[in-house]
Amino acid sequence: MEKSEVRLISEEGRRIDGRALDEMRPVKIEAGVLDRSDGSAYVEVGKTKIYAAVYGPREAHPKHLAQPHKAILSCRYHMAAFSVEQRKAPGMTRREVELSKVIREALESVVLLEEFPRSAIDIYVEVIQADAGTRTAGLTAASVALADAGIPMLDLCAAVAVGKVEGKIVLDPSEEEDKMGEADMPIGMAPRLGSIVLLQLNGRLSSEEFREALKLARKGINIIYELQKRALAKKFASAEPLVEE
Amino acid sequence: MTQYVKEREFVVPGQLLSDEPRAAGSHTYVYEGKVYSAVAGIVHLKDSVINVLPAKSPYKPSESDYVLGIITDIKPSHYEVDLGWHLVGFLRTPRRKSKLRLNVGDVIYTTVKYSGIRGVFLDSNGKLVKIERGLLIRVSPVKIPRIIGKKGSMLNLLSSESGCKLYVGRNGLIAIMGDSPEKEFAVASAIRIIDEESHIPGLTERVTSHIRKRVMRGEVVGEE
Repeated sequence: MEKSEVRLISEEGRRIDGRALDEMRPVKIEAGVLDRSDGSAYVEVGKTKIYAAVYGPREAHPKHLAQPHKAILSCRYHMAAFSVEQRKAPGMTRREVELSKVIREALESVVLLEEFPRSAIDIYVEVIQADAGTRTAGLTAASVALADAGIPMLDLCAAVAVGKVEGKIVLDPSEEEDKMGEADMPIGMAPRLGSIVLLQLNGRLSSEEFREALKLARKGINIIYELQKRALAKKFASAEPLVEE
Repeated sequence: MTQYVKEREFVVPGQLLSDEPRAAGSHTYVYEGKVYSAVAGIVHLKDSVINVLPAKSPYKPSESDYVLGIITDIKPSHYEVDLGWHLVGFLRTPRRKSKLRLNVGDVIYTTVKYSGIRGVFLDSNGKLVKIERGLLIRVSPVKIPRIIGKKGSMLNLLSSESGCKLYVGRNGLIAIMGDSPEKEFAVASAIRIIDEESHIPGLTERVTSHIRKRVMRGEVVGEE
């Protein structure tokens, strides 16, 4: 690949938006933002804005898909027509179908589906504004929405992307870094279990770079995980549960 | 035994609660001999068992739970009963000598006989009651303990203040039977108060005065 004229990282090691290499964009997480759904969450990562809503457990449709021993999980990742610079056709694109699948598979590994036989849990991830890292923010939001719905899980899921830009490993790449960088690797983890639930890689990384990237991702994931906990605690303070009987 | 949480502490899914697997209570799971929380909620310790109480939770039927359901279908050997949410219960057709005749749309009050891999089976013997009239409302299943109150105190209050008969199902359905719609609506709105304001102190007084006010107003309107 020819070297680009635009410099993405300055001499002092700052990125074009002024961040350090291991610094994330500002993250904001809110739980229980939508009244009509059973559980919901809103996540902002820089300019990326995402809503996630959870319905269920409810009856599986069509009925033959229902499993006698566990619930089925379905996920729809969708980008709003106005979420990107050029209007996006509102239908599901090949990319959206793929991201729905990877988010669903990530969540299937933590949700205790055996608790609700013959039923379905539906997750809707709606991207309102896209600016890199929508699949990772989508997984983060979906996990908070599931916890808000009171659906039992082994762990929360938090996700962040790491990239390689001008030979350096950076945390949470921005749109420009994603487009002009050498590699982009979204990683989703269940932090308490320490297991990786989502991992994709666009571009090339050497094994040392991969290890460094994983370490950096873990750092970002821990920050997001704390914010997820705080969002759930805040929602909880307003809806105190019941002890007596 | 090491316990990592205090009473009324907020926990999230995956949070370590204890090293003692026998301390695993409701909404927890055991993984490699340790107890973790499965939901976001508040820790409630009872007899050295760690329970987690979520703010919202789907209803999971367990044996001997009282439930309310609506008959949705009649099959040769059983009725299908909608228990709300995602649940369908099965009710064996009562014996021929039973006087009870059920139809699609009827509301029944009974207990859960079996809940497991084969489905949810309801008791069609002694405890089965057909709700003939009244008001049917739905609340979140986690709020049911509050509506029942300590040893049924809140439920007694609701029925004695209004003169209505109440059937409360664990699945979140409540049937209210009174001798006037005003009284039934008074109880229904009181239940909404319990549902929404259960964490604010002085609930009993507010519920009492609310029902008295509504019932009195109903009687005045009725006399006109």
